[in-house]
Amino acid sequence: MSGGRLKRLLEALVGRSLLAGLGLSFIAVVVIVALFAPLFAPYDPLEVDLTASKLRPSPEHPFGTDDLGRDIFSRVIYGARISLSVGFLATGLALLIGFSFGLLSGYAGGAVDRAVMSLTDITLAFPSLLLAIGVTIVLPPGIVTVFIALGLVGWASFARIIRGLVLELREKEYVQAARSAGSGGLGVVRRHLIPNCLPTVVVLASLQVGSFMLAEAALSFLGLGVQPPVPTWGGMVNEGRDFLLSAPWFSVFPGMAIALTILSFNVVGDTLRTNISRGGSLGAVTDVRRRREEKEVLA
Amino acid sequence: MSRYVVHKLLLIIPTLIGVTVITFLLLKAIPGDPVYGMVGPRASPEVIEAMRKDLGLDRGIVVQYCRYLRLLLKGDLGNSYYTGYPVGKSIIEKFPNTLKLAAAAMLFAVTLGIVMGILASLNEGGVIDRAVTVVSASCISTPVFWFGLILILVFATYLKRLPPAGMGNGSIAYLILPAVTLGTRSAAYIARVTRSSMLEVLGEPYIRTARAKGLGEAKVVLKHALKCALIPIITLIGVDFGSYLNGAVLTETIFGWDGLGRFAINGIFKRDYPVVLGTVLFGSLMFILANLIVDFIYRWVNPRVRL
Repeated sequence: MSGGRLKRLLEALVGRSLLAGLGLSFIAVVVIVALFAPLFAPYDPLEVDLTASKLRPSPEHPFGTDDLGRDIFSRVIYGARISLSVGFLATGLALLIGFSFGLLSGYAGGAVDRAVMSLTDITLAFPSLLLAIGVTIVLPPGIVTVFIALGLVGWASFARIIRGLVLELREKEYVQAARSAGSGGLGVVRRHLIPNCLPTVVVLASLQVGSFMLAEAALSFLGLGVQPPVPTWGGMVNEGRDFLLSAPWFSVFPGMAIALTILSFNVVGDTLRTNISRGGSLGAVTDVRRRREEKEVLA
Repeated sequence: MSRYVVHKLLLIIPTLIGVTVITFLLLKAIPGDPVYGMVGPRASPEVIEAMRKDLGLDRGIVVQYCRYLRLLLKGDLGNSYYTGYPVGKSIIEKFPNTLKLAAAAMLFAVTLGIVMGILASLNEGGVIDRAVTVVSASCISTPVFWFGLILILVFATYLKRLPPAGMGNGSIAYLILPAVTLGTRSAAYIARVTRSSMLEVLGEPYIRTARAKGLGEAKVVLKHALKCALIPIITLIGVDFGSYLNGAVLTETIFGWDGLGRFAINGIFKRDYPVVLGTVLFGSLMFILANLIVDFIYRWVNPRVRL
């Protein structure tokens, strides 16, 4: 990526917003720490040391230790790996399915459109957490299962939005012109429809990463995510529930890690939305659509 | 309008059938047999076989599905594999609890969200506006289950003001923490949408007219602007309320609230097929209905989209 491009990207991501700048920096820190977790974690996240059980936060253990004497700070660092990878992979999968279906539905119209849209309606009507839970139970437990479950639940609103966009674009003069000049269906889709959908897709995706991370945390909290002893943020909050009175730091710090990371993604996503869609169609509407999408995955 | 209503109502049926098909397939794909859980580890193969036959689990999946549909047409959701208690009855018993929690959460969310949104819009770019933006972004980013635990920690453990969990024979004190936990995300979304929608409306010419003819600021904002600005919020309320009626699994789990969400997830963990099918079907119906009602209200208050 050339310098000019990088600068433009940064401008779109952060703009003049201090919050977005902070958010982007925080994301960068979390990503680096997750990638090089062994370098940053002071202890082995799985090492049990019963003599160091339930220690309060101190300089040696900044976030304290859990009932098995594992260092919570190190576990939070390793937990970032799961959260980030599920967040990105699930967004990728949901986008892939939603984008293809939306494009197909909007461009083909007719019976295909109706079929795809009924599938979308059914998916949206489903209690989404229960659907995600169902998928996680069917597939063998692990990180792949979690992101497949979330992707399968989360694609529907992408499909809807992309379909709407394609319907709009299809009527644009340049698309009509390309068609009357003899461009085939695929050519129009590739040269005109896909590129014009991309800004919306980028904004939607950036806003979606955070919700998928929240959903991953919720599944782990219920014991359905990546299985122990691998540290996950949601799982750690759950393990700490029994010790809420005697050692609140078990739950408090992992939860803070979730909240801050997701907040950063949301702030950057919101800024990106305002910067990309200035004068465009993505305003308060996306807030409503987004809420519809997330439904009670998070309640 | 009435044709539109009928058309929309008829569309519910295929959607619900789709929901049952997906749930059924998913349940059948779950590894493990519910019978083993029911009879215990030491049951003889004959007993297991008899039990499977008894429940109709020995038949093909299509036969099982048709049986279920036939039962559904009679208005029967089947009986729980474990307690033998009719699922429909359990749902009817637990629904009021879920409804109560949903209503309380929504009341909290709407009040807080609208007030925050109005304050922010009247102070565009100012301190209050920024504070509302940061607070609502934080609320949207905080995991519900963690927020609930923090509320328990602060209000039940440290301040000892409110009960940590349970339903306490329906006293209001037990409702507060779960309702706040569940409603906070909605409040944040409502605040954001109220803010942007108010800002849009406040720039309209008719507001300038209202001001020009000498109306007080309070009247302009609360009577003229708010009425129009609230329209998009209706959709938001519908979506959220609908999904709360699905059962708020996480909130109900944390607070030991005896609602549909907890009923459903216990059913899933125990492979109690009729319970899962029944709650998912009921939850989806509630979600669709809530959205439809909102859709109708939306059309009614907003003549621009009326057919």
